[in-house]
Amino acid sequence: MGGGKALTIAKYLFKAHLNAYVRSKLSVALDAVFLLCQAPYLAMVASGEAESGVMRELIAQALAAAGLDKRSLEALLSCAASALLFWLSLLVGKGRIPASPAEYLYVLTQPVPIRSYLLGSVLSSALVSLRGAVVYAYVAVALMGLPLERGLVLIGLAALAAAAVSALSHATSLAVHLAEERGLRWALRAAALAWLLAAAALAPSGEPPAPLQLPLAPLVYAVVESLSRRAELLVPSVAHLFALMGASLAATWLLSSRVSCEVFLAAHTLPRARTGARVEPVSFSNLRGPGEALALKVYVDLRRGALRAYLVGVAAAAALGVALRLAAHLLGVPASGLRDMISVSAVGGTAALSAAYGVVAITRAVETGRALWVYRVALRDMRLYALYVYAELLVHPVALAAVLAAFTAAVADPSLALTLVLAVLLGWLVTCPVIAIMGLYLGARGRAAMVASLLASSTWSQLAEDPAQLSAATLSLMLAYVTTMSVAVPLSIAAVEGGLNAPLLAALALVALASLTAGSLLIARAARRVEVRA
Amino acid sequence: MALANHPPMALATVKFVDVRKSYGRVRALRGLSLEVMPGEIYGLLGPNGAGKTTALKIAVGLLRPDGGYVSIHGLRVDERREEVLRLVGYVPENPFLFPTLTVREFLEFVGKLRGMDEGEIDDRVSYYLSLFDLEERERSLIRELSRGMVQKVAASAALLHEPKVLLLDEPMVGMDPEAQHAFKEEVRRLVERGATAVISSHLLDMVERFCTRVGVISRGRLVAEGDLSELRRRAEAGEDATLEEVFVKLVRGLSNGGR
Repeated sequence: MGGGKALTIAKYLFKAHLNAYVRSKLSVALDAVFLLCQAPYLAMVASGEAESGVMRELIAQALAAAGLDKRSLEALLSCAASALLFWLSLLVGKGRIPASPAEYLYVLTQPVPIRSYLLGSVLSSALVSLRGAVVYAYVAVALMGLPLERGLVLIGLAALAAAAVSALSHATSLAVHLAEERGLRWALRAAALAWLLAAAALAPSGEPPAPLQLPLAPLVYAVVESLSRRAELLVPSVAHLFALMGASLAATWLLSSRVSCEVFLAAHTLPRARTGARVEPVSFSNLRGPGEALALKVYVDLRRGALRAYLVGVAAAAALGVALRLAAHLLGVPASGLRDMISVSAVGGTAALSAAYGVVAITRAVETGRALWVYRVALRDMRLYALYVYAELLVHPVALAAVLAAFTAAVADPSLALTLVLAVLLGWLVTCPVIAIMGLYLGARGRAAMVASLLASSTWSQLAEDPAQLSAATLSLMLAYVTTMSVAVPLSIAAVEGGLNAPLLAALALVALASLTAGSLLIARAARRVEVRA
Repeated sequence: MALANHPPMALATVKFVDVRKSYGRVRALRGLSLEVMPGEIYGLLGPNGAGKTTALKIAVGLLRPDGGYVSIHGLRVDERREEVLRLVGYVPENPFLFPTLTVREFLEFVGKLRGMDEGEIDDRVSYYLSLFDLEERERSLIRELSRGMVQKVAASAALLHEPKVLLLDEPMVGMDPEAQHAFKEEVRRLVERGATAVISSHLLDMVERFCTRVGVISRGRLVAEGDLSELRRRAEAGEDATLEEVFVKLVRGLSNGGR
């Protein structure tokens, strides 16, 4: 019942995804170039002329150094995935299922059962994952040295995994929502905590505690097995993955008949009072000057956007780190091995995060640049504007770095965690003026297209309209990556070797102050001189 | 059509019974009760934040009331959501359509969810594309359309299955005069064939000429209802007062009364 409509929903949701891709000539061209570049290498691997499996060798060496084998890696990753994708939602997540505004307003107002919509969204997530699955299959075949026919299996497995995760997420959200409505959230949390504590306490030392690996173990085992040459557990783990998806779908089917459309969280469609934090009204006559007005604007932006999410993120990352350390202890993984692995990946992860934020930052800078005329009218000293831009561009990457640092501190070394935050702060103090000034020029010209959406779904006409925005986004991305890495790597080495002492920190503070002063003057100068055409 | 009395003793098509809804500390609806009779075009007026959009969202099951209920053709929305939605065509306040579907794909999608067959969908989609002058844009992605065109597509989606009840939240925002005229004619055609319409709007001239009865909501309650002469009496306005003057008097009177 409702299965036909679920298929219709899946078909059109997939079509919307496909249209966005097919009409984005830039995405198609980039994918084509990527595939063309890989074709000769793949042909050589297929004919046995090229040696493949470089990545597999590197991973094997890293695992051996950490004292891990494939089984313990699977157990460890299962614990981490289950904590992140299931237990965290059960303990601190909201009982809400995200729906796009269009799905909320035009699918849920049709005579369609809620369960059909949920099933349709699970199916569409499986279909949408197919595009990424091709890359996953390529990575597995080319870099892990697997037979070519494994690629087809991997594509199917990716779709199955996406569907299973989506179904499990729906079932968890529905359970949390129903518990919240009945005032039983505390009972759900207590049951989850009791399960986790009992599993940790009762598991014999050095052996994988199975209850802590659930429910994501089938997914992790299937993925790891599919990437290894000797995949003894591939068939049973895929069968378990099917069972996980079936059980999650059955739970979704059952629970969805008891909820209303209020379980869905649709951004931009719910009344403001529900979607954002309430900010008390402020009388402008009470403000002591433009500086206070700008500070207030930053505060309001933070309250509205992210402050709570970041605080929850730091707590969740720290909790995850502690859980990982506990799981490693139970598995008998040497603490030094785990620390080394996390340290290396944390530095790379921070730089990647910083680079990704570069694109968002240029978008924010363009938006701020569009409103330059307001600041020009209101402010006598544009250095205030420069400090505002700094605050706006710095807060988010530093907060994201703090989330990563909380995890690193819990698993590895607190001094390394401090290093990551310092690296992002210093890197962005240098990067900010360039991005801010690019944003000023683009925004003040009256170009309204958002850079981020341009990258996600560009058309030739949009690019022809303003190719400078794409260049700015690319430059921001590279700049953020290079500056963060150039600060993070030496600092991390200093932290690991115990060289992160008071004189070095004082020197870094001086560099930060100098960057801030010089950067502010540069931004203020540009803000005074740029021609406003918006 | 002008504001007029409804036939007495008829069974209400749309009925709000003591509907209450809060968002945290904000009380959006504080016991809204109103009845819309068969064949009426009922105008729902009120200042910003009065609760009109919340009321219509509850009527289509997107929100659940904290108390009270809404029924359509005698079916309670909270108990028989799917049956009610079969009867309803809804235009939301902000038409967030699927930006990467084409106009035709989106309307076909809605038709299929409504259970219409392929031939019927094709005919009805072509009819509305022609009515709203969108034929040349049927292969365009929705994100490439202007605000007014998007509103026309949203209106087409609501009318596609010839609904028995139309719940329209600011349905003509951004539409050009020609499209507004076509939309009103289409609503009138459906009403003549037995449908009932509830329209929330700030276009008071349109409501005055187009609606058969008007309800004024303020701070989550119905504060006045009736045809124009009844509203004039209630507002103690002159014989020649327009709906706009009556509305301003009613709402200002409430504000001054400190309610």
